[in-house]
Amino acid sequence: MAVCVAVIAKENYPLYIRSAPTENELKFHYMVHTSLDVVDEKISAMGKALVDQRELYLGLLYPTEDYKVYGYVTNSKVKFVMVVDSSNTALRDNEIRSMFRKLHNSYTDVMCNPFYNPGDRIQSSGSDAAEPGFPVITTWIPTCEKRMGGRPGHGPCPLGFPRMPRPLTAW
Amino acid sequence: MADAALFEFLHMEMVAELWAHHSDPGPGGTPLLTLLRQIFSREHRTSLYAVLGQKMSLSVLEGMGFRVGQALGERLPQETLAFREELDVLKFLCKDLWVAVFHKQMDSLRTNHQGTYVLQDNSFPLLIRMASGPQYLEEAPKFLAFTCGLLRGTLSTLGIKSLVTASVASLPTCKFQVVIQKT
Repeated sequence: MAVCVAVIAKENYPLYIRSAPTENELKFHYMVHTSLDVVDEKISAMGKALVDQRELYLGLLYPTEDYKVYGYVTNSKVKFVMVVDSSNTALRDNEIRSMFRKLHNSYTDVMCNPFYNPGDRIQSSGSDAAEPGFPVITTWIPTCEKRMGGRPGHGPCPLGFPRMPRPLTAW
Repeated sequence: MADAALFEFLHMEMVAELWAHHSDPGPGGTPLLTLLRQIFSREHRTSLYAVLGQKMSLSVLEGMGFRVGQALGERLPQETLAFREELDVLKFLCKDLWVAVFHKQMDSLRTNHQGTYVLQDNSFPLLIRMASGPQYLEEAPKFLAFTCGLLRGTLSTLGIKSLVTASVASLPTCKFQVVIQKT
């Protein structure tokens, strides 16, 4: 199960960072911060590599004794870092990839939200209902609530606003 | 299917709304304009604050395009792999961005390899309904401001600071000049 998820902006400051509330959270913040060096290294290595090798998913950045850190970078140089508990050996690579893909989709939706100013910290309503092993991150849109990995547009809005239709995602 | 028409109508209305108060210096309007009206004398009224108001409207349009471009720059390249160099980003603009917004590709891309790119569209969808030839040439720039902002916003999300200007020689052909700012 992922114990910490972070979204880091292009200029290397955190836009969103959330850890499982059980442990010493500062340790995870520090781990994410140190993993940025590894991310930068991988990005520059990718730049010099062969034509076909460029990929968004960076893979395992570095393992520690209790945790493994995975990275992903988007085309706009926004980095996603995920810290996973090492004791869960059943977690496979493609599951991590799908988690990152969902995170990327959520981040893109936040970007397309006209009430969000790019560069601000991302406000997220408290969530952490555990679905099969992964924390669910809900992104707070002013009048409706969207669950990552769930079906958007369903579920009640706590403020009692009428449910808005799903926004257009493409021209 | 109706998506293209929706955007064209919305864009027309945006331009019309922002230009609505320029031709009619009546009572009301924004506080800035009323203040300007009081400051300047009657003879200068129409020319001076009309020009200022027009510049503000152009930058409002460009700002709107910029924000939309930032969002599109995040969403459109989502599945494609990372870009290797600047020329790839410009090619992405000409192909994927133009197809997503205007349902056609850009007609030509030229560069001087020193940071200046000229993108030419021979039948720009936002101008094609207006006229064909030299008519309405002076009205054309306000219809291009949003698109200039769109290009600048997408480039900024992809990590390139730029300055985008547009020029029209005869409708509906227009050229967008992108100058990359080297920091």
